[in-house]
Amino acid sequence: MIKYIIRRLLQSIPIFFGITIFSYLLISLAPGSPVEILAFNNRLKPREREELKYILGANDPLPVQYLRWLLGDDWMRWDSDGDGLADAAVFFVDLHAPELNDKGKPLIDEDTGDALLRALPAGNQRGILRGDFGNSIYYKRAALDVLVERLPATLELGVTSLLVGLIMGVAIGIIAAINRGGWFDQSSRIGAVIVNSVPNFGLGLLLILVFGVTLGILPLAGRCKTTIDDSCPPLPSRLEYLILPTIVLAAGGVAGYSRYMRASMLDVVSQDYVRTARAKGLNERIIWLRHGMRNALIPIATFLGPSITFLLSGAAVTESVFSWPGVGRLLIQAPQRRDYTVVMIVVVYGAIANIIGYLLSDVLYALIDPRIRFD
Amino acid sequence: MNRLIRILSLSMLLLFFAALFAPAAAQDLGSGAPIIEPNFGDDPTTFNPIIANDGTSYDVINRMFPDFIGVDSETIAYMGGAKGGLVSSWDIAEDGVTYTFHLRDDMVWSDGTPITAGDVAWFLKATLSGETTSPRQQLQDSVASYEVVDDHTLNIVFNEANCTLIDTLNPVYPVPAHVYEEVYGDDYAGMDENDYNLNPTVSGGEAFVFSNFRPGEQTTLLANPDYTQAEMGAVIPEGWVYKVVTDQVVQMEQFFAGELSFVDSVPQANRDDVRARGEAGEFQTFETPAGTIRFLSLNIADPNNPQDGLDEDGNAIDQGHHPILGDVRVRQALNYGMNFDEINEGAFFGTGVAVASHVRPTDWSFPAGLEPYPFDPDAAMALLDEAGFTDADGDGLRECNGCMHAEEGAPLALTVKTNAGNTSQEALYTIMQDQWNELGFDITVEFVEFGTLVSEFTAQTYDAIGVFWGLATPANPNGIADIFLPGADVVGSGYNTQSFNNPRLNELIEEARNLPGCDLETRKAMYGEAYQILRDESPWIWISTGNVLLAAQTNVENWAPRAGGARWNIDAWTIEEQ
Amino acid sequence: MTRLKKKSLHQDIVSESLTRKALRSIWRDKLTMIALIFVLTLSVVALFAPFITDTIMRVDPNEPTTADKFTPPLQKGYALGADDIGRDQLARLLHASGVSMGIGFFGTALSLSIGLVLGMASGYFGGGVDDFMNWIVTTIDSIPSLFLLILISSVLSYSAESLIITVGLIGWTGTYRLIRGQTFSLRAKEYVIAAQALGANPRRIIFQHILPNLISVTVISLMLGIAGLILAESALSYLGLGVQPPQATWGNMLTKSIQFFRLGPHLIIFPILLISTTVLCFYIIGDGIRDAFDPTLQK
Repeated sequence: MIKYIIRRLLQSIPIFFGITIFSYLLISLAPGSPVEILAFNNRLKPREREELKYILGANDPLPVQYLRWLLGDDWMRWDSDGDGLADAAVFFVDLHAPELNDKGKPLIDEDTGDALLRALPAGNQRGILRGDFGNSIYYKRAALDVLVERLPATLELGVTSLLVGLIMGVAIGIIAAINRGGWFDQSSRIGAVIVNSVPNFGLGLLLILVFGVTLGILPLAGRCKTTIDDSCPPLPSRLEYLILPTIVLAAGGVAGYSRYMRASMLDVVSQDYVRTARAKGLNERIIWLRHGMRNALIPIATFLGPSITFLLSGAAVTESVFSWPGVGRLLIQAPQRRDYTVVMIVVVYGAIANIIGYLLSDVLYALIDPRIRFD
Repeated sequence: MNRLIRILSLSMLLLFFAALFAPAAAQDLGSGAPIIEPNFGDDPTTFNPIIANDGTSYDVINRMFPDFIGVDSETIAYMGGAKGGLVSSWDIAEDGVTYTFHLRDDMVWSDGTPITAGDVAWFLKATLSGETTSPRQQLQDSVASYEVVDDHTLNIVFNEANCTLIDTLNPVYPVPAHVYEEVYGDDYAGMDENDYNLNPTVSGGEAFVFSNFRPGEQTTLLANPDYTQAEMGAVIPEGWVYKVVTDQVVQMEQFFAGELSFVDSVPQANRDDVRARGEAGEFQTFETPAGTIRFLSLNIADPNNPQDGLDEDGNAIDQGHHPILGDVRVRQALNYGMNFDEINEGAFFGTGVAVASHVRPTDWSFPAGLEPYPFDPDAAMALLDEAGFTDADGDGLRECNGCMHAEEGAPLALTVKTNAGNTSQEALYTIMQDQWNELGFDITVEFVEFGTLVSEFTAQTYDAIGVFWGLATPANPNGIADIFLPGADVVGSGYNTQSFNNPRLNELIEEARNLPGCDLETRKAMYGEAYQILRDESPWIWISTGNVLLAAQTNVENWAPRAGGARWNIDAWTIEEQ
Repeated sequence: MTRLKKKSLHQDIVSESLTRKALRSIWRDKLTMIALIFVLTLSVVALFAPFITDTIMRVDPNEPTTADKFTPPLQKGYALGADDIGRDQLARLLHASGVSMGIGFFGTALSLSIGLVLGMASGYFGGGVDDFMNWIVTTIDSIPSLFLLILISSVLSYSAESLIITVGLIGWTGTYRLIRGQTFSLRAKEYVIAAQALGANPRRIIFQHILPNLISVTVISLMLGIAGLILAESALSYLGLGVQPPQATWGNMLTKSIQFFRLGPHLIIFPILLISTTVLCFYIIGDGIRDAFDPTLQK
């Protein structure tokens, strides 16, 4: 079991690197670099802007920039005599930058025709592998902190929606299967599809208008009642705030699980062993619940992977509609602010969440299904 | 643990003061419910005024730090002794560059330490070092030195005498030097990374003091027991909560439901509704000219070969001409062809105000005779004919037939770009496109992501770009007029991206800034002439400054916003629990 | 089991009759037929939207008439009312249908073709190609798709074309897995092995034997894909990353009108109805086809 988990984790290492390369490549193609945003400031003179580029290494080739982001640059360019300026560097990194004039153009030594050089400061990034995702340009602090602050809210909403989706989906699926062809079966199927056909934000706003504004029975948005306290009260005392966003997020799950559950129940009860059980005169209810449900539940575990990813990575749209302080919302504004450290940390985080999600779901699957062996 | 101690000490403090003020009858400290204000957007990023750069952060900072020089909420001008300002008066020495500021002596930080000249000096020390990541270039350029004379007297020496020196002090705030010295030391460059930025332990001098910050949710301040300028003797609201709301529709519904005390800018779509319900007594409302201006910047120089305005010796560079907009008559025709009434009705729900310049009628430098272009399609067509743009082939579109800068036969086609995601901008430019195409233009409108738009704007490669800008209050006439000087025409960073250069204007603006004696009337006349030149030459098309509609619940007593500030008496707002 | 084996001996003939049988069962399935007719009608209308608005209705969908703003339906000659600057909503919805459904169709078609080609190649050749492709697919799949959409939208401009490319580039992995698996299992089937043994070249095997068997799977994916993309387009518009005006899409029309829900409810009702109904129809068609091709459900 542990061996299996370790093997799966090892297998995900190349995928993790794939993700970092892929997303770094994409973001480097994006218009406007973070340097431009730091430099979008008419108070900054052209020379200072160009110097900033050298210090941040924006002029380096892409692989070097990627390596710096991944592993940091404190080993690339360092200061061995403690004068504050770098005096040693690995071969592919510049130790010096050209001296610039006020327009940001390199200064040339008139006698020799060479560019005048000056030493650069030592590298001080540690790279994402050592937990240094860099500072968010917008939030002015470690991108990791910004992400971690948003995690509790995302988990809260995610876990609730997953549980609600799963429980309601399975229940509806079972009832629909038993009641095959009946009114409940038909209406639940149609209901699930209809709910899934409405855009998420439309559904969210509709629910707010109906339950919050017109009926006034549920809060409109937010995570808890606005008070001057420094945190929200514990979850059980503010469940009403969770109801609407959970409905929106769980809608897809309910629809998916119930359809799947129904199909797999019907599949199981048509199997030979169930027919045998029935032939032996076993109670219909026992047949459905003991044989049908237990075996039909197994494949549901495979659905958990994507669901766990979804709950960990948050839901940008729903979080925006309900002013929910989660992770998903972070990603929406970050690209427009050219806050690429935040974009990257959210993407990498989403990827890790995904890997964990699938690992969990596979382990769970193997645990439930006696036919699967860890080897 | 740390937080626990803070909460404990804070509540002890509150209890203590509650006990002190308890016998003082009705108007006790924090006796009213907290004010809940929506923050439509994102979290504040710092509570340190030295590095603050975004509006949201300043919204909070202004509630818990006094300004250096306050702005009078009635005259909208810097004034010694104005509420919310540390400076009680100032003298200017004979030399015109040495200013002596006398500070109030009744302001204290929340830990009991008096707010002194040393606190302002610390701000200046850090900022003038030039090492912080938030340069305040204007301030850095204008201040030569400063000197703490005594606890309540500060001398600031400027580099040269001119009439806008007080304006350049706008970003200055006193900061608790005894804490900052300990927390930040002299590592100004590393200030951004300090955890203290979002967990300030000491604030004061304003109506509220910092309590807590919940990322993604809200920032909370509590009534300041030491606030001496309170209208009612003590700060009435228990606190001020700045609550993040990420959807504008939801924000208004929350207001309607009574969950928010006050909205400082009702969206245009809700204006009529809120106004009507205000008249019916459901809300309190107040309408005032907005601090923003919408304009369309016209590129006058050749967009295919952007160059700076001046070379290294300060001589003007020939930047070529924009094939179409290089001719002033075309720019004027665009102005005449704009039907503001239709735009106002369609895009601004009737709340826009036509402007001919970036001065608002409420600003002191606003000249009497400055009129926006009238809507006159005939004049526009005549100008286009005269400029050599006629419709020779009868297809309804004009093309160059003997025009000044474009190739013969080239169509009168322009691409107008503006920022995506703003309903009013969408409506505005869709309507303007329609109006201009009636004149025979072939206008393409593109809605572009803001960052990309800014890059193109500063790269000077566009035809026309429309954005809206916030104007400073109080207005510094030089603040925006400087944009049109050739020195600000720097590819990639300057704001004179339209490459405007008019010798008379350059002269006027410099003179008005440096006028000996700074006589307001004389300066006003100079600025007036400058605005007239800008209107006639039209490097920008000034479109509109809107009105903002503020609304508050009826149970917010003493809510009395002024043009100079909605929250000038926030300490007196009394919210009755309903 | 035995029956299926017999079938595979004469696969081509049998599969043709299977297809015919499926078509017949769709023909009999009233719900699916209604959905199909709705979608086809809408597609034709969308395709001819410029003709309809120019020649029949004689209105310009992008021309504002500010005096008529928020006109309710059936007044002043606006069948579905006018929007916030007085543009004809019907005309805009017609044009928007083309764009939104176009994004759905071409986006899905692009991702399907990428998935189909790579999936078949990977499943057929196996080995190193397969390993490398799997690494790429797992990588793309590991990034939550909305994150990827936002990431790629920040690289490309906001237009219908770039949206199609974006979804094409990230949406193909599901199809890839499906097709690769199917190809793997089909490759092991006797008739393919027989064809190989007879010296048929790979392309011939793929096109003649493998591809026809993937049609139903592909058509179902196409239907569900289009539905998903129509919803994704509206979500991106809500987040401000979708197609920009003046080009109307269902998503940006709906997003924009939400703030006017008190002034012009008709501006929300019609786009949301159109989105939901269309998506629903695609779901129903997908289901119908699945049932029709499912041998266990055939009587």
